[in-house]
Amino acid sequence: MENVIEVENITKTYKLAKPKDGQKIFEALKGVSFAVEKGEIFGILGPNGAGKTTTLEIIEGLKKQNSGKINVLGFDNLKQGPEIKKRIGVQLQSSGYLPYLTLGELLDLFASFYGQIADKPRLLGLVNLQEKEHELVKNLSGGQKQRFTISSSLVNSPEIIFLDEPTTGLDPAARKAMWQLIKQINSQGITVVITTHYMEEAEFLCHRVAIMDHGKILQINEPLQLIEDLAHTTQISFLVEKQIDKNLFHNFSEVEKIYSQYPKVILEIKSLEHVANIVKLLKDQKIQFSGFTVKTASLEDVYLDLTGHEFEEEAYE
Amino acid sequence: MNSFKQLFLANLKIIYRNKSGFFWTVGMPSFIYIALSVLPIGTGTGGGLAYSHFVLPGIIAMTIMQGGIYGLAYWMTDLKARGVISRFLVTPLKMPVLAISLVSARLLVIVMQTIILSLLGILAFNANFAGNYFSVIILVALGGSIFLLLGLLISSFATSYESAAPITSAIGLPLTFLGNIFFPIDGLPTALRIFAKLLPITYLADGLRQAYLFPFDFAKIGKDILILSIWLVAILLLTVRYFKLKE
Repeated sequence: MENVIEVENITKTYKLAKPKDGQKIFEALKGVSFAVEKGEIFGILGPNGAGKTTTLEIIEGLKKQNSGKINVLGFDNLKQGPEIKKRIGVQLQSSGYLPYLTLGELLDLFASFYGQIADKPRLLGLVNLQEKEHELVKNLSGGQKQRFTISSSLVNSPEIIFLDEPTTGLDPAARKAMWQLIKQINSQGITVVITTHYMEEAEFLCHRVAIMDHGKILQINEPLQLIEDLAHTTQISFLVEKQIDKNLFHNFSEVEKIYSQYPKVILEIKSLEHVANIVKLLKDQKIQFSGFTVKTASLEDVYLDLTGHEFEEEAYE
Repeated sequence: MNSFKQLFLANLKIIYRNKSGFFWTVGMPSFIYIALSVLPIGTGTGGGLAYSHFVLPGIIAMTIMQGGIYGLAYWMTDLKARGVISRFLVTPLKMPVLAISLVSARLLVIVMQTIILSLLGILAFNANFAGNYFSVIILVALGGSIFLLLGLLISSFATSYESAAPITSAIGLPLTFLGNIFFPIDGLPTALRIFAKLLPITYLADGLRQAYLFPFDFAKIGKDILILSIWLVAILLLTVRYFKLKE
């Protein structure tokens, strides 16, 4: 598969106005490398401050890296930035628009930056805002504004579109609608690079995900593969009436970890297939239990596992 | 070229559609002029001129200055804070096109302000226009360019309204009160007079006064135009060197 973006070992530091912990320099990116394949939805997942936006802003040409190389569609970001800008669409985390202009006027304005004429019915139709052409942006709802932002980033028919936390602040219905829109854009052959701190979003949308924390990429893979690679993919928990012997489950090779703190028992097993065996064992041993729940692993568990989150420390002492 | 035209028109639409901004841009200078003209100030400005006649070119100079230092500096700072400029920076739009379109649109507004104030002075207060139009056009273009570029320069150092306000006040207040707008600088204490003679607005107000009130005299108006031209070159060089929108 052809790579449309290649990021090699980029670093980015900022001078701090006020030294923090004796440090005058903040390392936002500490050697970030990844490649994005043509036609995929590539997600960069991580908490606030992980370095997601900085990474995107460097690729988009808003900032420059201190070291490392970036190639977008065959163009070097430091030497051929304008060529890259002609071919990409960008939705920034906090995009503002010139006030007192209508959606149609703004699309005309953005199209002129690319030497093009805006196909307003198509662009507004794509995001279900065709009836708002003569409306001012300030009169749109949050979801409509985000959709318009995406519409305006498609004005130059880009090969790659960058979406920086496109669903932050949206209600669940608007978020789901945005996901469908992103899938629709991708189905037209446009490569999508998206940052998010919503695990569910990355899991639903992305073909591949880079998990990022503290300015580093921790892992890159398909969401399902990341989950499958996790040691514990399924977790069973239940409450018992009497204290049980932990050794009861030691003969079960499928049980990977046991946590027992009366009356709660948590078992980590390799897959859902073994749940029935555990239930059978409990019944055979005449163990009275209640509140039986099964939780399959998610991308959140992958993230927690990679970053060594406190969940593991607290629950599995 | 199309992006320049679109940005130029967009800026004019924004100024026109922003009702409160339009009031402060066009209405307020007119109210100040009317208020000063109806006050019983009499002459007292030398040459036996009515105060309404003396102050008209000064008010025009002040309006030009405020359009740049306050109007454009705050506008640019606001656009940066809202993320509008960042959105532009991820497109192929060239920054000089953005800057020139902003300055051009505001320059046109300054010309409109000058016409409105002049008509107000002539029609309502019998201000006698004795000079020549060509001098006025040159002076308005020079003054407008100086203060609009200064506004761009201020916005390069301000990241928010809060950080822009002290800079604009520090620059705007001395220009307003020592800049030959409301009274002749000859009456100022020596130190202030020397300082006032360094300010571009002093020469803009003086030049406009010469152009409005007296028959064309190149020797007198030429000096004002020369000093304003030097100021324009200096501000232009500083703007080219320091103007930036983001990293």
